[in-house]
Amino acid sequence: MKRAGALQAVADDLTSRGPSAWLLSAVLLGFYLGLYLPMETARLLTTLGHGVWLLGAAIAAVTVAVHAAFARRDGTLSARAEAGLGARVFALAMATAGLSAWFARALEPAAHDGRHLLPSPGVTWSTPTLAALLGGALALGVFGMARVWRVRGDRGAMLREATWALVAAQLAGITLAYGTHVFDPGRAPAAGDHSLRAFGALLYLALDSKWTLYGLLYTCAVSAGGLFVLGRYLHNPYQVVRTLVVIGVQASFGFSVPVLLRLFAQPEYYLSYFWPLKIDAFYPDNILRDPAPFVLWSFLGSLLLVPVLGVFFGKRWYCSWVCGCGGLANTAGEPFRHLSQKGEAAWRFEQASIYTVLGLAVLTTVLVGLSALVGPHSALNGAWWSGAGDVSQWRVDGALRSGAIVTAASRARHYYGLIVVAVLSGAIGVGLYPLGGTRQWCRNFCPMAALLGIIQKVGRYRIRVKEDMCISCGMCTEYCEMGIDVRAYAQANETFVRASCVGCGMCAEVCPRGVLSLEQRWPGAAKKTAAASGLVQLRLRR
Amino acid sequence: MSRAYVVVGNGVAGASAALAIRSRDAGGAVTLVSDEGDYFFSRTALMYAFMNRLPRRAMEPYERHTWREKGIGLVRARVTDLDARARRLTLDDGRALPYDRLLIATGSRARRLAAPGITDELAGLVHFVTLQDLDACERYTPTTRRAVVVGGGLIGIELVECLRFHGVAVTFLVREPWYWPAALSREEGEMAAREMRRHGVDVREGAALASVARDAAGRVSAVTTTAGETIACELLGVCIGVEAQVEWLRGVATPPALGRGVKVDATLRTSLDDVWAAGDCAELPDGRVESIWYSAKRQGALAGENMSGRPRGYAPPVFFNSAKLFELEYTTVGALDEVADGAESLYAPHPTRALSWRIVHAGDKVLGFNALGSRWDHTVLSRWIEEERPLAWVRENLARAQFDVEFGRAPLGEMRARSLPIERRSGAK
Repeated sequence: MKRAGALQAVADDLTSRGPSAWLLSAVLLGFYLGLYLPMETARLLTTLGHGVWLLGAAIAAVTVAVHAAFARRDGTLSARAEAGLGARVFALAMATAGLSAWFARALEPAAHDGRHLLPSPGVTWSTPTLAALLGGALALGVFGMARVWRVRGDRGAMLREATWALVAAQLAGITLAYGTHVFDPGRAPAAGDHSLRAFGALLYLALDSKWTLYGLLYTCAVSAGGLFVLGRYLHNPYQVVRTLVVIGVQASFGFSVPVLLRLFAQPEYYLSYFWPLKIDAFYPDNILRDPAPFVLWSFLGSLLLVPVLGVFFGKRWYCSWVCGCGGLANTAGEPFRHLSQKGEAAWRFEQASIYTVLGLAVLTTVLVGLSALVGPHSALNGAWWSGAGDVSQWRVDGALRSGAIVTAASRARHYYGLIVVAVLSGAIGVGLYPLGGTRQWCRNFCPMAALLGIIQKVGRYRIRVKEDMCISCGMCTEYCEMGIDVRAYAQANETFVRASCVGCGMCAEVCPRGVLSLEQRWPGAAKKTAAASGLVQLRLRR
Repeated sequence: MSRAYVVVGNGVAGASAALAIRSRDAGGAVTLVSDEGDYFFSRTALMYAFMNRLPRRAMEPYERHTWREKGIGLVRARVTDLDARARRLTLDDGRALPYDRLLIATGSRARRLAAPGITDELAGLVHFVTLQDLDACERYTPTTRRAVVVGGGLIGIELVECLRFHGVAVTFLVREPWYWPAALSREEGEMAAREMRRHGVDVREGAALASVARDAAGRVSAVTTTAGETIACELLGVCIGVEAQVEWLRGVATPPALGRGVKVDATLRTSLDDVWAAGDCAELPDGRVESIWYSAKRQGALAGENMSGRPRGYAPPVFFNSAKLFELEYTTVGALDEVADGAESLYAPHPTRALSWRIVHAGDKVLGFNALGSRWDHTVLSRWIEEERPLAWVRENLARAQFDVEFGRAPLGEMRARSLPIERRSGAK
């Protein structure tokens, strides 16, 4: 029914579980599966890319037909306009499939061990590919700048439109780094060479592993999405500050710092993640391997910083200010936030699953810790998924004293990594953005979120509801990425805190009557409830 | 012997009443009758559905199974007859619906505009109050280049915002000398108009609609304003207020006493035995018809309680309301317009930003509060009015009532207050 431009039509389709949303989800799932399954990444992804291309073509054709049929029946939209929409979906499908094939090429495993410099770039693209990619980036950049120029004067719109140019720049940068020798230092610097020449090799060094490429893409997505979010919520200082911090943390602790650490021959350490999200922080082999300051940081962070800040600020200080998973959800995932499941059934599933995963995380940590105490660890070789490649080098000579525990620990570690880290946090967590909203992982599976949620329930953080002002419009519930039925509390005049709330502040932002506010206050200091006011509290549930 | 309760109308008054009855009388049969929609939905969310920001189902404040679980029957029908002697309703499908206690909560409908060229069949003429209005708006929008919206209140600006969202050029005819004088001072109305113009709306203050022209297909093709200007348009939105929906009661077997609405006593009982009325369709003993969401919710819940328990009188608290005029936050508390002579305003605009507060006071007594551009806690401001805090004290403590997002407190220190007379609107009711 909407009169809008081509971009808007595609965006609508993408954010309302339309055909292109299914397509994007398929591409993302394929990407993550390819990323985490190491042996046949390229083949799998190329195959997937082709499959996705065919799927996209089929979906787009069906879309064109269905939309055209509806247009004829209703007579309210011209069949031509609807066919145009279908064609745009088709074009998007082609573009996405092309991108996924490009990912597949880019991720082709080069012959390297993931820890050292490569003698030459892993992938070199043919001239037509390079020309197409760079030309595309240039065109996208010109298009983006033209859009920025068109809305000059409106700062928010300019920021939103600048996303196009930023994406173009990132596309060009990644293409040059991966497909050409532009950033190639010519030879690998000698070990311990910290000279400028070695710094010149920074990009080269960074991009030698698929994990670093993944980190780069992730950071690009967070920064481009963050720019879009800044443009959209420029009038809301909480969102502005929070988004700047999210981008900053991802660009530094989530990407640059680990890369720099590697440059200086240190372990690739992510200082913004703590146990139990980074479960291997408490694995004995890692504790013995990593430098003491990092280990100390992980222990103090996990056991002191997380709970203390959690008590004072709720889980939001981590989940929507620091964490990379939340960072991606609140930036690149912003257009999909309303797709979260809102019903009570989804809430029951969430409660059952998230505490199960927390239990599994604790159990795995205990088992692995125990196995370090009782036996040798040559069997611990299941850490391929953690990204570091060879973390289980720690061996203890000695007789096999408790084979059962060691075996169980090894299995637990392997399957936790495969199922929880690879499938749930990666593939499901991001792959389902276009279909199920942005916080599938955070809401249903993240052990850190489970732990912080428990702390949040006893801490100071809450969402305050202004008495009697709610008009039950449902915007808060619709835009809650955690699927909390905020309206149920707001219309019952109930100030509340839910374990799952990540404090993104979007319910307060979208509320047309300014009913909600995020605050920190000890429960005893809360104002009197609405009992004395004129309005009957219809508290149906919760 | 369990009672049969019937509620006509499933808006916020009717739904609140049904739930209140259920919470007091677990055994009674409760039936909600509506011909507008199958489930209670939030009327205030219409604009978000129109702007594709909410799917229609998300407008329903309670999950659908709630009604089943609460044992509240839902009937989709129009009531055609009310016989209070036989305690029976007749529905448009011919069925009879007996009741022991009845609530009339049929709400209000958009006030119609009388002007040459306007008839009920005019295609492209829309209101913005019911689900069916939303259907019509969605049907006409894709084929609309320019729309003219007649109005000057909240529903008008909502429709204008929706149409702008869809890329429609909009001319907004405001009959009064500034936007929404019933709620805003001239300065505030001008700030709201600036906000509308910032979003590309062609706002015409002091302009009303004179006549409407239609094309061969019977659709609006142009309107002529009282200034004599003709504006070509494909859609005409009429948002000049609402009126109680009580016409259907005039022809029934036993009509209740009617005025502007269904006349009720202090406990919301009508002139008929065992029949109550609540919400936008109820005319209170002092002749007022309250037609905002909060009153309907409050009255509905009270009527439900009174029907199923010991009756209490209706005593509304200090008036409050809030809204968002495009992106401009708006909060009001207390009395601003209907105040005695001698009252004046203390108005504090921000020198550069669209931000202001205004306190209406009579001498040292604070009567009301209006704010644009920032969020306020109306419960605190209401309490201050009830406690009769002196003006100087309120000014000093104003920051305590702020409700802005973190890092986003409105800079009260940068806003200089000055006295303004209360400007009476000319010719407005």
